[in-house]
Amino acid sequence: MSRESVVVTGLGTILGCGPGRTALAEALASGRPHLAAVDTSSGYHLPGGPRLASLAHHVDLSPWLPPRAARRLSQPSKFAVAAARMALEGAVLTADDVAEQGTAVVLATAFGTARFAEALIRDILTQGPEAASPFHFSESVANAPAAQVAIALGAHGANVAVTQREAGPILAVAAGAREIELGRSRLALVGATDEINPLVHAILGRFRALAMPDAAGHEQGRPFDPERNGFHAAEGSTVLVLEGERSARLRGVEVLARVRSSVRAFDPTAPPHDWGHGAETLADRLRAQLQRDGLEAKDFDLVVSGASGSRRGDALESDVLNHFFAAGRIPPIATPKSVVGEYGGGALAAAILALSGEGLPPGFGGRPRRLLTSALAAGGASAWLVLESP
Amino acid sequence: MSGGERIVVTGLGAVTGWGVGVDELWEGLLSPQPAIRPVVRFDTTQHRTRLGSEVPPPEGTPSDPRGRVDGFERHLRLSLSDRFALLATRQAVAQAGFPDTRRAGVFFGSSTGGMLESEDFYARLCGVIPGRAPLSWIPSQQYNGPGDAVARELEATGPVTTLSSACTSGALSIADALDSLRSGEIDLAVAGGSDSLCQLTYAGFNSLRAVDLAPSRPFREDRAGLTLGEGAGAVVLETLSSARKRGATPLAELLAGASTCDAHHMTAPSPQGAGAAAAIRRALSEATLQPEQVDFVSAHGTGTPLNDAAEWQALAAVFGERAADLPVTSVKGSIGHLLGAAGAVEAVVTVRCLLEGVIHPTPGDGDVDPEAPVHLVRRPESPQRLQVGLSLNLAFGGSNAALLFRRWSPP
Repeated sequence: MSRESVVVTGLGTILGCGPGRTALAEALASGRPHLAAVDTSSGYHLPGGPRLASLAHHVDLSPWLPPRAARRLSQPSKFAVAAARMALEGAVLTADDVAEQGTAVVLATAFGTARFAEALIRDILTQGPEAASPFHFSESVANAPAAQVAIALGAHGANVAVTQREAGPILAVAAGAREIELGRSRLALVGATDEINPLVHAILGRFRALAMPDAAGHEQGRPFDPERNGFHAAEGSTVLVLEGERSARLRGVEVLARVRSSVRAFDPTAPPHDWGHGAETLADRLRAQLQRDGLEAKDFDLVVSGASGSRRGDALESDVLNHFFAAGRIPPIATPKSVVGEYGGGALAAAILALSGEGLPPGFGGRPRRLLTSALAAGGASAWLVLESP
Repeated sequence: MSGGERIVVTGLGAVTGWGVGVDELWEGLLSPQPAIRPVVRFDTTQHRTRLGSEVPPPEGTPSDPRGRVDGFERHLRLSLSDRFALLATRQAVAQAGFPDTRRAGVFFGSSTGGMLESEDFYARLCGVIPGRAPLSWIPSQQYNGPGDAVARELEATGPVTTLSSACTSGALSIADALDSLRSGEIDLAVAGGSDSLCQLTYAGFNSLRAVDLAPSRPFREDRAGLTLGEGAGAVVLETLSSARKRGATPLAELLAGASTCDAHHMTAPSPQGAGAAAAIRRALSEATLQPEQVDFVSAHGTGTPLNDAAEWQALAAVFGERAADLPVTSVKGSIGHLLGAAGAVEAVVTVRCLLEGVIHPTPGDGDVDPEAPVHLVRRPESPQRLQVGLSLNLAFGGSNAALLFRRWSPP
């Protein structure tokens, strides 16, 4: 059975740099993250540790999410519903289209609706279990954002929450693309949504996962920098509209990217909270799986790397790239997480923009024809996506 | 989709309120009594309800089930949910004849991961209870903890994906594995789900007034809610050629895994069961089966008034007049609702029913709801034909999942 070619026709982003593609492109061009102080009043943070994150809860969502509807949603659900509507606008699709096409929704989240879950536990522990809020509980499930997108837009296809940490956004795209390839849905809304509440930020800081403040107080993930000491956490949402290429061409809508292939693998040497050293295994699997789709290392002219500034994560990423690409033949590498941070799907959005020539590494001439984007997760899960210029 | 290679089940594993093991579970399901008891994991005196189906600690181990469990001494950072996942996986892999799992994919669902341990961590972090909040409790407390733990133990290098779509997580993970096998991405997979009982879910479901004060009574007229349980289910799935190559004995064939969304409400199913009906129809279509070829249903059957009514509506919509005669059973009257593990354990039980030629009963007294008049299996039944079983799950957020298994018959 020949597979339906899947393309991206819509991109919605609610990130710390602001809403939408233009804000993201400007941030990537500037090379500077939009960082804000995390509320440390709860006392969870250790002295001298990281204090900043790329926060998006200040972003005005009202053009896509009426305040009255927002009241009933957790922050990740708000981000996701707004980003989904923005993506649909870009794809020139309406909620009626979503309802008629059996649309699938696949959203990744690393930590779920952390604020509501924390509030629920706090109420149970401090005021007793009868103080538990049914609203907080129903929105505390990891699939709440995907479900709220489906409810808001009438999406009756598969509805799935992928919870595989840093690899989640790419896994979500791959899962949504599969729903279209197999003819189960004609549209898919895929991506990621995350919130960084003080508790999650403090725990990441205690694990020394976050970039430490330098002498000037700056905290920024510095991918592949020998002096890197962690990533900066980010919240927000990225949602892509996927559909069959034939359908998109018939509609005459702008195609942003073609989803050519995806690869999943696992590094069993990874401890639960960090990255492992199984680069050769990962590279071998990447090579073998791409060969099934008729691709090899020489076919790529850009890598949009998931390197974030993580000590061991970036080392593994570097080793995998060195194993996969022949020595000296690694194409230019973009590292958008130095700007968009980790979580919220910003790097996935940056990979889409890269195909339009935006946010490319200095000196990269023209637009990439085919790129490989990667996401290696703490704990061992790994995923790659091949995107092509349409 | 049905034209690809056949995908077979070659191993089963379960950890439930009946203990560690599929045999233990099966014997328990055949008994008239449920494995539902007063919860001891945490103090329930302030909770609205007292009952649950906790996994009893293995004989000879400390009474605290969070303590060391045989074989886990080197995994001190594992949450209880991780341990359940590993125990279920070990059984499944053993039954499958210990295949080389290094090439396998791992697909696990979990609703709350290590929330139980997170609660302890948070209580100490906030000073609610005295003691240091050790960071070592945190790494495995993510949703992906159980699946990652399984993948590490199996030294798997294939795809590893955790899905957390509340009560359909386990079933969706099995469906994910099926897709991966059919696509040729892998030829061997371990799939399942795992969740441990914790205060968040216990208080949360009580806040919705969705928990019965008594053991849950699925499809009964006077049902008043669910009973929470915990545990894990795991299956080894592989292509038929992989099983043949290894000389493994197929236990059943996994025909289809389908999912839909109600897009209706976060906690209430669509009133006519439309989303669940659509999931069943998708599964039937994928398996190229007609409704009359389904011989029994392992229902989601939580015992909540809304769920069971919607599920009946879905069955009636798909199976028509035959719905009232189609045997329907639910494990939840026996082992409670295992949330993210429910779909996985129920898949294991569905396969076991096909293997035994017996449909297990749903414990509990009371008449079947005339508004949801399923043919509820109340004593073990051995119909003349027991070839195809449907395992159905519904979840928060309107997620629906349908799995179809067929008794193994060599080609």
